[in-house]
Amino acid sequence: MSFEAGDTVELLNELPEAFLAVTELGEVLFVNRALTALTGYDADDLVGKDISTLLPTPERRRVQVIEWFGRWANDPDSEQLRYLNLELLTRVGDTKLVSVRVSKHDIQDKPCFLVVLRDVTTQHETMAALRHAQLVTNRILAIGEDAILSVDSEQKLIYWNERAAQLFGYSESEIIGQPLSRLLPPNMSVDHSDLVTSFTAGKVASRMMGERGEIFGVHRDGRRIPLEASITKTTIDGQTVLSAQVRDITERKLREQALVASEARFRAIFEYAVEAMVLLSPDGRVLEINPAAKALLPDFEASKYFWELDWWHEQADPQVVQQSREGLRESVGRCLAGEVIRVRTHLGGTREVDFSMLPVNDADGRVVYIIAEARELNATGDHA
Amino acid sequence: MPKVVFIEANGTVHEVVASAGTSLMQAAVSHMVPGIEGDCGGLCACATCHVYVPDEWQAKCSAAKELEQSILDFAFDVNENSRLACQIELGDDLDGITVTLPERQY
Ligand code: FES
Repeated sequence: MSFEAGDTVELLNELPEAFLAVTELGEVLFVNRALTALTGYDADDLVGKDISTLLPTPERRRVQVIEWFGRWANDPDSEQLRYLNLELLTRVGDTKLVSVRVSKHDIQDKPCFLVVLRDVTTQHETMAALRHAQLVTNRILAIGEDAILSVDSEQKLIYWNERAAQLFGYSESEIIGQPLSRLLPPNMSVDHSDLVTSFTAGKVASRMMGERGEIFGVHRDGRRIPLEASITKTTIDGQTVLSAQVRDITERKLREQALVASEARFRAIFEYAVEAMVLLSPDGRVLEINPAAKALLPDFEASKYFWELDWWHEQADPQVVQQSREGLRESVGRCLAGEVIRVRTHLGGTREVDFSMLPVNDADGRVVYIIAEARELNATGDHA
Repeated sequence: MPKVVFIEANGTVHEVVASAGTSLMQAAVSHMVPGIEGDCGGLCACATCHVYVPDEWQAKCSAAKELEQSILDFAFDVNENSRLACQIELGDDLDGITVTLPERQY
């Protein structure tokens, strides 16, 4: 079989890509069927017309189509052809974006451009939407409170946000491409690298790091930073990217330490106080008592109500005991309402005790504890 | 480290600090300034990094080459202050440069 000259038009018409031939001056000589399908025009509507019918100078831009055909025909490998699109106006007035390929050829001794057009409207819109979404996401990541970083399958850093830069002291341009081990204490980086490898191979998509103990990062200046981190992996085309969200917990650690210290101070006061001290819940149940109180209450049982404790001498008059229990109970109620209480109670015999109760409020003003103190008056010689 | 101010068409101001030697386009893209795309990565082939450089800074920027002039055909709303940001290299002489962005890049 051989190719006949007469087949040419038929062949061009059957081309799956839209094709047209136009003179250097812009007169359309030929359009194929795919082009009429793309534009909605019949061949007769276009042949003999100026190319601007189809590819007008776009609004708000200066593109002169024929001039650009000339440039691209001279440089068919131009990078620009990958990025620059023309606007095609269809018969019904819709605009489509087309990418073009152009070559030059003489037809009947007249220099002409042979042009292939491809509709890239959808791709272009998708790309623009993606770029927009990416920009929004990137801006969110960038302002995030937490440091975010990603590594590739070789554990080299490929993403680094602003917080990460602040946390570790390296700018994005310094750290991208560097190994993750740069950010880890030397004694930890080998183990950590194994953990990363096993996480990459494992089935879990995301998890908290540091389940096996505290984790630390290393600042550029060598300072160790206690961290909390969670990690997630994304595998696309066999390439795994691990991303971590990292938080500096130095502050939290300091707060915890401060809390432990204040607890220790409180313990010291509570345990070594000469006064009997009892810590109550707002409903009057005993939470803790100190050694001085235990000395007064040898048979102490936790979680009783304060007024049920055995303060009284065993020979005390039951009626008096009953009355003073009621009195204490009522005092707890008043203390809960915010009052500072002082009551004196006979324990039977010559024993007499001064009780004071003090409400402890939280930041919202609610009573969360009641501190009760008991002082045995005649024991200290402080008899009234 | 020259400071650069990008003003979006809607007036939003982005102040960034770029490293000397990078282009104005890279400074915008790496600081996620909306309104500059830089599709071709600085090859002067896409016209999506169009900016307006005010007269007082024009003189300090290297003049636009012919290719840049012609690619600007594809940018929107081009005027005599139009430049492609990828063709402007930032140096200390451009510290403080303020450019405005067009309404659209494509
Ligand atoms: S980034 Fe493509 S022309 Fe400037």
